[in-house]
Amino acid sequence: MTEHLLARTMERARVSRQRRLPLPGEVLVDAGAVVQPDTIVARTTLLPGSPYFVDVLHGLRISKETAPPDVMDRVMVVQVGDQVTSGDVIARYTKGFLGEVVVVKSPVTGVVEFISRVQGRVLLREDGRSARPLVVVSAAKDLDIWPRLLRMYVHCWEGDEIKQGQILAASPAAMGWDCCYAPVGGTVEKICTRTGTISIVRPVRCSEVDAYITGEVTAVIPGEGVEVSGAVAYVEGVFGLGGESHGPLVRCAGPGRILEADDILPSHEGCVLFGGGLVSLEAMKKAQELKVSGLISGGINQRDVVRFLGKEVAVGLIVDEGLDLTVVVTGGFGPMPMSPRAYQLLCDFEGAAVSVSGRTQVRAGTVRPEVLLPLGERVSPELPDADLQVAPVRGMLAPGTTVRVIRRSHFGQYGQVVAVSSRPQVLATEVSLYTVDVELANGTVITVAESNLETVL
Amino acid sequence: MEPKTILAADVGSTTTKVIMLEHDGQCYRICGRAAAPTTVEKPFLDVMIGLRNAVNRLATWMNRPLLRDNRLLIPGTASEGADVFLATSSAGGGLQMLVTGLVRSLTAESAQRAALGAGAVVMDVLSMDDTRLAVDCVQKVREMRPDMILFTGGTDEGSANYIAAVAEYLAAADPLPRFGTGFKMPVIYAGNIHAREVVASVLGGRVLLSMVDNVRPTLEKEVLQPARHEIHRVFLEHVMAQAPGYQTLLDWTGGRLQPTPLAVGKMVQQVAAGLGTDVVALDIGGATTDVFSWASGQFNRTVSANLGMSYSLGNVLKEASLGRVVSWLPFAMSEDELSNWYANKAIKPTTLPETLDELLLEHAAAREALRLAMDHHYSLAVTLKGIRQERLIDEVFEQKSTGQPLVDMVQVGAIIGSGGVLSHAPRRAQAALILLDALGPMGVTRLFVDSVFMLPHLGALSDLEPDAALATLWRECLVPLGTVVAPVGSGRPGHLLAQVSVEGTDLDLLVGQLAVLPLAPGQVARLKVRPAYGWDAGAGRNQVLETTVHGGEVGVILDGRGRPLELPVEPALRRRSLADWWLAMDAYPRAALHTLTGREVV
Repeated sequence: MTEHLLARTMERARVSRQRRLPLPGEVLVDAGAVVQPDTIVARTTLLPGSPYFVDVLHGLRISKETAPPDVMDRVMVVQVGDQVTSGDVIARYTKGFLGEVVVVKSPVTGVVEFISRVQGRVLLREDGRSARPLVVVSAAKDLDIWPRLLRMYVHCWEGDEIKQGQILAASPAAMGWDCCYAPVGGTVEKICTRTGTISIVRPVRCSEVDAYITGEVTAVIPGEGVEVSGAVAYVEGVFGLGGESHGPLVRCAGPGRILEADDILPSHEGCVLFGGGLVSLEAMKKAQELKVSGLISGGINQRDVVRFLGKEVAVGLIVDEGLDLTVVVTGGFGPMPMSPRAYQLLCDFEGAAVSVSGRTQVRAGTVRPEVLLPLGERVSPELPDADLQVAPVRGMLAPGTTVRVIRRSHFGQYGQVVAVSSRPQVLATEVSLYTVDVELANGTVITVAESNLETVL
Repeated sequence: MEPKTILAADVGSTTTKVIMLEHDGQCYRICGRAAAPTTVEKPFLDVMIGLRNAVNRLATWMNRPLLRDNRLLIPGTASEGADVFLATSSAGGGLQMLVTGLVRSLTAESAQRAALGAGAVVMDVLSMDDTRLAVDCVQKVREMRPDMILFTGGTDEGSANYIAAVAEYLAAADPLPRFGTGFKMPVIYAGNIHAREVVASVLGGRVLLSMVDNVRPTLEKEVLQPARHEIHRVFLEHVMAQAPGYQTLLDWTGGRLQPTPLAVGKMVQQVAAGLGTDVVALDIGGATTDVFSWASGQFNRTVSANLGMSYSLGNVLKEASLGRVVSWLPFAMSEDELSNWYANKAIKPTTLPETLDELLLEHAAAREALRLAMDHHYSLAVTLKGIRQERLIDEVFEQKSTGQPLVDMVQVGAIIGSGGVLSHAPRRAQAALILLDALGPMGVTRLFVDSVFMLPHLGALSDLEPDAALATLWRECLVPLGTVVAPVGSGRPGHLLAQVSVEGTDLDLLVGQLAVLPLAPGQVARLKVRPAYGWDAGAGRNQVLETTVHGGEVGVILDGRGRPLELPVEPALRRRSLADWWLAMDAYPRAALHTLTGREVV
């Protein structure tokens, strides 16, 4: 007997979701608070790429090749673990016969994490709360050039995305090139030939985490987020696109027909639409254009996914978190009628504020897309946990069991088991497998290998 | 004294397989096997749940108690338990490593080979000539969470400065291990021995540092074994001890747990030693494909982490292109239908083909997955780069660069296929065809398939009972498919390629033809091949080949399709050629194939 993973549709269940910030921040709700999907539960200032290397020896104009081994110990005025503020002197060096003092200042506010004694660098961890959105680099001064000629030396232009450490401008020097490096990553806002400066706008933005589901806060993780639990009806998908979303649930098509662009109306903005045995490429494009929150359908064409995303998709991975439309597919690839039970459940919740997630990971650490339909009652421990993975069931197939075919040529069709073979049968491929006779909804009886069926409870 | 019964387990990413071996006086024979889903991931987070499930199923099937109070009955008696328990593991993505070196094509590549040979999946390679920004490298290391780091760099007479720089990158990144909180990241230093002090001063205290011989003491020399042994030691003592449930598994095995690919690699080397020839072995799984080779006196292994027959099917199509996969099908199918079929297989990996067209779709993808994995192997299993070469005066016009592939298909005397699509192919000729089409063996090559993916179990057994493991390998594990003779060259289809005689049977092999001469397993025959002008049957261009060929489930395969194998471009002609080859090999049910390809049943 083979094993059957259950296709999960639950009329009553409890779900818990951790809502965590990507970086430490502020939690805005208390334990026990009742939340809606759009309630903001935590907030932080997000700074991508927050570690910063500062090339101290380069800043002090000391050659790495000729520097004594303990040069970093001599020049550093801060140590690992020290807090620094933007503009603080972190290294100082008295140069030459005249005693010229050269200093290196911290480009950011944060903590000294590491001092590289071999490469003469310092690694700083920036404090996101004090990040400046605009950084001005004195490129002409650094390169010792006339500000009006700055554009002759720059390696970037207004609007360019640059990374920290990238060369902004360079000028010929006696022993090669003098370079001016970007102290932070961001977008070049302005190259000023009057002041000889390059302004960089940093991608500092406020990151907020919403509750995602209707429910109550069951735990607070200080500085990081909360756990929200809710009583829901639960529909699990098999494949999805995009991240989490929510909105009022609206029926657009019957369970079997193609969900076309014409089914999507301007009034659907912000809604989660469901229906159809297949969502067309045009429908997805129109939904995205009209700012629809989510689409739930039975099937999707794999090539349409590629055309929609503009790239090939390896199904084993979570697909495109940055997408602003969430798609949940309940059946599989190709035209697939939606499960009658899932469709009916969705119909029952039409108009309710539902939550959807398109996150999919097929390989280890399985993540499946989901539709959460709020029951409008308090979560109770008696409800079965939707996240508790149902163990594979062995030998459950018996006459009368409702099953779904998951192999060509009847993929996605539902039926009832009529008979189960007691010994392996030789199939057209010459493989011996246990088979099951299944009566499909249209009355046709087909013989399917047991491993190609999914039990539907 | 040899143990009478051995229980061996292989904990895979998705399935935990157990097998019971019983000694019959000469070698071990399989007396039962079972499988259960692996439970190393959430929500179970305990590998022992899946293992106990599998062992319980085996016990039920064999009607022999193996567990009592959740404990393994070891040592066993005549009616219960087992005398020895062995295990291999590739669960949770297997052993995941980060390797570093100074120069990507020199020490970093040696480090990569050391890690791969030890059974690891290499997550990333960092080197001083990395094109990424330093801050990106540090961020990457922080995010990666490997099981351990192999830190190499420099030759023993080189400068220690750059090594110290790489050490500082690692120190700055302060990497965290995948399993266990509060544990230090194991780092194995296998670089310039004169830089040990500086490495210890930079990294000491931050990581769990161990030091072994340099993997590249000189540019001309590569020493991988000490690093591989240390990887294995650290894997057992530190990595596995932190993985969920593995401490109990280690107790059960008495420390005899090893990464699955390491165990398979041992057996591949045994096969090469036994046959006295270069060997290539491929294991195609659902998510990954491993390629092992013993060639030019060196063992190499590569893992193609995103090429496989279920989870990774999407990536196979992406890398190979749908068009190339379709070219192996003898019937037309719309692009939408094809891509949907493969995508459904990826999300429902446990389904099995019921019809011939489904079987052919799987075999088409398998050909491309194996071809890509072999290409990957060619790119990594290479001669040392950057070495000084001495050339004679007659060699100046054919200067070869360093870094040439070690595997030369003409020298490869045996190919072993493993994995469900090959081991469980309904007809052995199908496995033979897939191997022929994917790898393009040249000259004379024996083909084998692993009967029930026993190589890991036997690899683990070989540490305990090397002779018994080898005997079991030949009697129970490797199924001989036969010998393929594939002359190298090209010509016009239908023209004479070679005159072949095998034990009195004469045959004119034509260009583009595939023919089979029956020769049963265990039988040998003398083969004589007189190639047409310009062709090389394995003895040299235009040279007559006389050799002994071994029989198998398929027989002696004469492959006149030329090398490199190129399919006809015109779709109708290509489909006809495929059908002709498959009919000649009797690879698929004749009537069904005729129906599928629209030909009349003969």
